[in-house]
Amino acid sequence: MNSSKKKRIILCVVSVASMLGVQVAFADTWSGGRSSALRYTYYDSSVSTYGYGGSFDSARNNWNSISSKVFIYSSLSYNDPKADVYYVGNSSDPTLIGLTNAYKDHSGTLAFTTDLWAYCTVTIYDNNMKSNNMNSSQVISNATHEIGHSLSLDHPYVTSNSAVMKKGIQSIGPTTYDKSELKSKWGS
Amino acid sequence: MILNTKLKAAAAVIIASTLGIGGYSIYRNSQIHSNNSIAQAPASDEELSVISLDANYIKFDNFLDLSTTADLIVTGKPLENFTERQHYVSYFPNDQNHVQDFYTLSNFKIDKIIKQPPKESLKNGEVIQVGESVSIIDNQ
Repeated sequence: MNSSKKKRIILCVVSVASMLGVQVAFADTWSGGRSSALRYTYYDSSVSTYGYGGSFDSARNNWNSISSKVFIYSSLSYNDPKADVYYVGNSSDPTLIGLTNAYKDHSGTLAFTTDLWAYCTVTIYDNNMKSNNMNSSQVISNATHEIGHSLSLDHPYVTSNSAVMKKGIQSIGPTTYDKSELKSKWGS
Repeated sequence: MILNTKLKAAAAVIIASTLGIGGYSIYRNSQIHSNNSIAQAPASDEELSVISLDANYIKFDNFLDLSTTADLIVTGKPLENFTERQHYVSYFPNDQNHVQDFYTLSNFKIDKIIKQPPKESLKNGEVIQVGESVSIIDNQ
């Protein structure tokens, strides 16, 4: 990696706006993302190390029976260029339970939600899920939420909608609203 | 300064609004990552773009919930400009291109203490370190 060619950027998280009471008009799907929702994913070794393989399986399958244009397969090869990568990590922010990072290429260039992504990483944070005593249903819901981001679904702007894409600890899978948004992005 | 984890969790939320960079603050838990890298501070005139990452957070629906959960509530101001603070990024061990965590540490001078736990003895005028989920990193 040639750092002299790197451009410095500021990374932040979008949930900050609602925490501070700022009204921001989010679209519920992003214009960018992967070119297809028929895709592969690879589980980093951290997933089995922390024991979240079953949770990610369930979360992945939550999105697999909604649209014929959406299916997330499991990949065994890390070098599969088409594969998203799922991780289990730890965060210094004690309220962060999940994060999705999009990349433009395989050299670590982060992408905007309006960009065409090469792939993305989905992370759930073990230390914070445990410190908040999240049960298995809540962990699966959290993983489903993050995988939803990998499918270009945003947090719902209208917060009265029941949706797995709403922020916070929940115990639900994709709702009618989530399914509608998924189909609007990728087709039926 | 050593503060317990619960305090670290709660303090930040309240301090955030005083920092003025839209950040969500926490005290840094230095035990979390051993492979943090410190980003080189950019030149002050360097143009920085912002990438917002999508996350799932423990949510507070109102100020009462937020203030009740917080162990420490203070007002004050950071002592350095944003670009001059300590920017940390950690990557997953199996792929140094994949960001695991990121935050910025800021020296923060307390003007007023609104709430603190009995075990702490912070005073007005004291400087504490505050972490925020925002950082400067290198990108293509």
